[in-house]
Amino acid sequence: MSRPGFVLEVEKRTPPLLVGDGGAGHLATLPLGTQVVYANEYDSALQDVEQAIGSALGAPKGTTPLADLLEPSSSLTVVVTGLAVAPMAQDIRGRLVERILDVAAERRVDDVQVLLAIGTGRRLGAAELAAVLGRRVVDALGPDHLVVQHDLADPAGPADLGSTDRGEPVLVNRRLAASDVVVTVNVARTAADAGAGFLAEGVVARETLDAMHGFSAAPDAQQRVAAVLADRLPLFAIDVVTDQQDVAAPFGYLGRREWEWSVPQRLALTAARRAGKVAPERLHKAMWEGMQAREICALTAGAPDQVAEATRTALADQQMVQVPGQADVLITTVPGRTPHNAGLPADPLTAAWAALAGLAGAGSPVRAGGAVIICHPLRPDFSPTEHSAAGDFFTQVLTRTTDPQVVHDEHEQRFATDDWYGHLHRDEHGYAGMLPVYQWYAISRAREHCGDIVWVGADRDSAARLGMRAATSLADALEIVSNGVGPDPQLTYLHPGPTMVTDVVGSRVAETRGTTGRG
Amino acid sequence: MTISTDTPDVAEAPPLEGRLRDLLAGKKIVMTGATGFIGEQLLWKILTELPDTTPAVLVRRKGSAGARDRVITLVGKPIFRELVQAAGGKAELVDSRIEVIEGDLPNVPPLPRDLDIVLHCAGDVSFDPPIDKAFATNTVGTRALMEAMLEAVTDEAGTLVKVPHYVHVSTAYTAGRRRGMIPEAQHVHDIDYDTETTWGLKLKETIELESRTPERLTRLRRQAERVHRKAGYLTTARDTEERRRTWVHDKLVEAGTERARSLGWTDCYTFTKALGERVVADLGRNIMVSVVRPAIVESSLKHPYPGWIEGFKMADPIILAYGKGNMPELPASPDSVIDIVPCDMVVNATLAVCATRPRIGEPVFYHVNSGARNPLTFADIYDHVRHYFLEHPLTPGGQGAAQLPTWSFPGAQRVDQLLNTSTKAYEFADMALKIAPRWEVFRQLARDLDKGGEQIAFLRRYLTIYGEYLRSEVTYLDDNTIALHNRLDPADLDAFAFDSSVYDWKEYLEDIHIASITAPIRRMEELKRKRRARPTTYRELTPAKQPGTVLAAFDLDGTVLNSDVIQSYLWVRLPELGPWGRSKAVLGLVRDLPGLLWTENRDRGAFLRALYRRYRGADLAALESFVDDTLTDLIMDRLAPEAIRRIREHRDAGHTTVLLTGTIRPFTRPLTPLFDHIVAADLATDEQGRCTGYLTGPPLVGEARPAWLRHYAAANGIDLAKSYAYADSHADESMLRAVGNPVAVNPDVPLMRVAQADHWSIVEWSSHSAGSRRNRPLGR
Repeated sequence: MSRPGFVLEVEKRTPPLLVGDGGAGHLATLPLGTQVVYANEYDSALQDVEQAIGSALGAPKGTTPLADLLEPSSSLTVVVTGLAVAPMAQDIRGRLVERILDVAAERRVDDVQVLLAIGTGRRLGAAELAAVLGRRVVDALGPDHLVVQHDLADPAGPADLGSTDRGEPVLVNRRLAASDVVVTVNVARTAADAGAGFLAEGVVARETLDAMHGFSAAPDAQQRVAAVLADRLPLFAIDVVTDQQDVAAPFGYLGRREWEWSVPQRLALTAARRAGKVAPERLHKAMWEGMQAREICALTAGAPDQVAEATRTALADQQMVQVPGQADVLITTVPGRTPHNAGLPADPLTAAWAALAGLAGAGSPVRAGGAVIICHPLRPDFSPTEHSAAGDFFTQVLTRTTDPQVVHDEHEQRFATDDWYGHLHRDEHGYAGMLPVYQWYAISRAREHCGDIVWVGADRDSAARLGMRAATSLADALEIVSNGVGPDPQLTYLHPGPTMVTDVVGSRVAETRGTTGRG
Repeated sequence: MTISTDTPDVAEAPPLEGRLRDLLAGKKIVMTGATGFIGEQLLWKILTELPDTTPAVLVRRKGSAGARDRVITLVGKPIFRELVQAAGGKAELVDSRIEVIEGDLPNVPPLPRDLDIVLHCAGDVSFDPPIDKAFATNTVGTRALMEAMLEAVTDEAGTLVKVPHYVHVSTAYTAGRRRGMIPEAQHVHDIDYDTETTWGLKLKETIELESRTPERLTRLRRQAERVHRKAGYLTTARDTEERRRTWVHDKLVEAGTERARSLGWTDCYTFTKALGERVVADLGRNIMVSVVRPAIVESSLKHPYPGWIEGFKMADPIILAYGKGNMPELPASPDSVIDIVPCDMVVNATLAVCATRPRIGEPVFYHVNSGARNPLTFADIYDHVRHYFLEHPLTPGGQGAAQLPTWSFPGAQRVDQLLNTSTKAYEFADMALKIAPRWEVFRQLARDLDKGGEQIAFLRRYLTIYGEYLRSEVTYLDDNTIALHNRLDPADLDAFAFDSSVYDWKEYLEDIHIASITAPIRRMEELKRKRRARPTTYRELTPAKQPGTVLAAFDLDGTVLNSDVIQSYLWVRLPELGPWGRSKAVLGLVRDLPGLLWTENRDRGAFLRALYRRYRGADLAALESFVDDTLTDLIMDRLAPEAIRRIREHRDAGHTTVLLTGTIRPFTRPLTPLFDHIVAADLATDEQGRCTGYLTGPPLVGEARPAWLRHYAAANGIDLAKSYAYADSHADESMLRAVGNPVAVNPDVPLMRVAQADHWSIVEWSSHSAGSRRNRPLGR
């Protein structure tokens, strides 16, 4: 690690600080005493990625080299993370898949499939497939339909792997259960993704997703499902940890400490703000879908448990920042790119999910009953193909109820079984119909934990529909929440920038997913 | 043969001895116009103040309501409440006090033989009636009534058994274009009313005939086409016939006005009223005749209560328009007198006249007005009106007090100029807006423009009718009326006073009259504020009682999909061409675009055919797979989310969803899962599967759509009255009209006007803002 994150306490001399607002961000003066949490600036990277790949495949942890696992008669499936991770230049996933296919070819394995673990996410378009897997892989396997995207409701049905020790059903893609070797190619962004973790999200059936994200989901279900998958599937796991530069180079000012900004960085903010006013979608694309090259910080292969362990350590080094105690008021922003808005600015549901989902529970950076202030426009703009279900959830369900119990009793079934959502998800490029429902359950858990939730600069109707409030400025928002937290609360501001995981001193909880990926 | 300015002999008012209730006790008054403004109060007054007098009302049947029903409805009005209570019910009141005679004016039934007085106060009150109607009411109608009256009092031998008193309510303005002092006497002129009536009635036939000549019809059809061509032939035909009727009406009005002016009257109303007075004098040679000539009758001063009025009278539209800030200027002479008289004074005077006994064959005239002894000038009324509205402003649209214009009375010419300039500006803007794109900003502009246009039309019409009265220099003497008033029994003064010099205009106008006529406007405003009145054809869907009996028809381009056929053509053609071919295709299209758009404006079918000619040589199967592989994303991204939601809500409600489009079928393929039925244009192909550039059948546009819907509904047991349709263009007016719940989606200006007029919902459906291809990373 090159430079650890730190907590700045705002005092009189502190310059205006960057506040993320769903666009380029803007500079604002924060109240005195606010604790501003800056992420780590982590820049140790692998020098020779090709060599790292070679040694990972050749000398994996806790298992035999990949080549030794393969026989000509084997059926091999390579599972790759989908758009939950943004495509990058010379995508590491494609490079890995290419090398794996080379090994398979050397071993004369005929039965090879690449499976994209998209889960509730949307199917990749042709260009996106080419970007993630590389043109060579797509050209070699595509014509024979050997590049497959996971289908939550596969008409052929899932394979039953039994259940977890808590009785959660584990149903996965049939192909995996039928494969002799399953190689996972995963770019891990959170500790939960590590090892078989991303499989639990990406290749299971709806029943399993329900057990993890549904109305009565138990905490840590994802780990238990992942454990079953690691246990029952012939896994050869490959985890990659990339650098933290989610945002394209010109927008590198994000996450830097304001007093260290260079002149070009200052100018970049001004220019980006202008651009954001004219064409917010273009700005979003330029910032978050820039397809820039990423450094590889860690690359581990082998048995899923050991790989997960190594990945978690690397992620913790990269992302963990200690904060002194839970805040009365947490000021936070929504990352521009979340797993649920590939290529589009976040809609209100996704924004609320991204900002809030990690705030429930004991390790939360905000105390129970504390207030949360988020800067985001909450534009109620849903893509008719990608977020059709979310749009309907927003206009048809949230106008009637925000109570998760009622959502569960009266509306969930429709989103699970609707033909149109099914059609969009399977045949077009729509997110799964259940996604907004899962998002709402997660948001609801955070709402239970937190007191007032105020959106600064947000569309008032959208905020009200989410059962939350809107304020014009940060000062107004603080005024609103002062009813609940008193006139002199402890403020914590999670500064936008690289992914970070807050480690509240005294209650170290790493899986605060919503607090990851700030931007 | 014209109007004369000779001074006529004035017959003086006969005496009045005793109280009116005694003088009229045991008398039967046959009256016409009881359902009208003055008639209603007359009836009320008789019932209230003349307990021993029997009113016999001649009432026309209206639809299914017989005369008795109509009188029962009439006594249901608030002023009769006490009477009804006393009688124990409406029907009881009618049966115990009123004799109802069912009949119409030219076709008067036999009148009761025991009649004593006939009070004729029916009449068309419009100042610009068509000439035939004016004569039918005022000369033919009056003659018929008088003949029926004479017949009732004549025995079989032809001798009068009784001398009735005929009281005729006319108008002060029968004096025509005379100036100066007008005495209370028969106006001098030598016009033969029978000749005038005969020719006047004949004009109806002539004008009707002319309206049906091919030249006239062609002209009318062209006018209709200019507006409705896009909507189709039937809509145009409907409008043409509408225009023909309006033309006939306007011509008849014009004929009336011109005839009146050629003989010295301002308008046909006063002209035929004047002739009516002559009919009365001639037919009333052997009986007692009185003529009451009120001026402008406005709300009551005292009875039944101060401010009682029914509807709006002559001066009221100006007053209200001023209060709403819509009357920038008035071309009146500030010193001209506006001769207003409260309604109860007219009623009282008329009943007092009924109680007199004029000499046989010597009609007595009474002017009931204020101009002679209590004149109110336009400058005065302006002050009062302005003062009233400054104190009690109207708040149209809940947007605060209206801004009151300041009148300077610049004279008729300036106002005319102003009107002409505004009219031209309006027409130009209207033309421009009709072809403007379907943006909300243009719809808003059109709404504002329409408001302005209505104002101009109102002003123009008002000034045409009343213009001359705004500059009148005439005083109607009311010596007979005041003499009659002075002879009233002191005990009658409270209930029957009609001296128009006793009240103060400020009090009457500001406290009584304007307060009274603005009350309903204020109530309406209040109601609107409460209800936030919205057109209601876009409503929450309820499941169909029987699935499949309701359909929802959607137009594609501009309604569900944010694109048009030209765009989709380019989507298909461009990718398969090289750069050179691309520029050629685009340039070719740009070159032909004006022509195409011109065609589109006239005939959408022809436009589509012309555009689809360009698909010649394309391989249909390749086209379809290209749409499936490549265009589906583009099309899906351009769908309006609200549209999809609405379509799906219809399906959930058990409605049949139908897509009606002129687009070629391949483009509808991505929408197949949303619709039960897709009607699109099919490209014809040759043996090799190549498009010939023709369609297999005519494209379903304009009036073919409602025809298709009706056929489909009949074949599938669908109730169109409960069904829905969604479209964006004026061309689809007929389709929208075919269903019970039409919704205009992002309408063009002409469709928006139709939707507003018919209270259809107007909704804005826009496609997702990130839906444009250039915003997609990797062009997904």
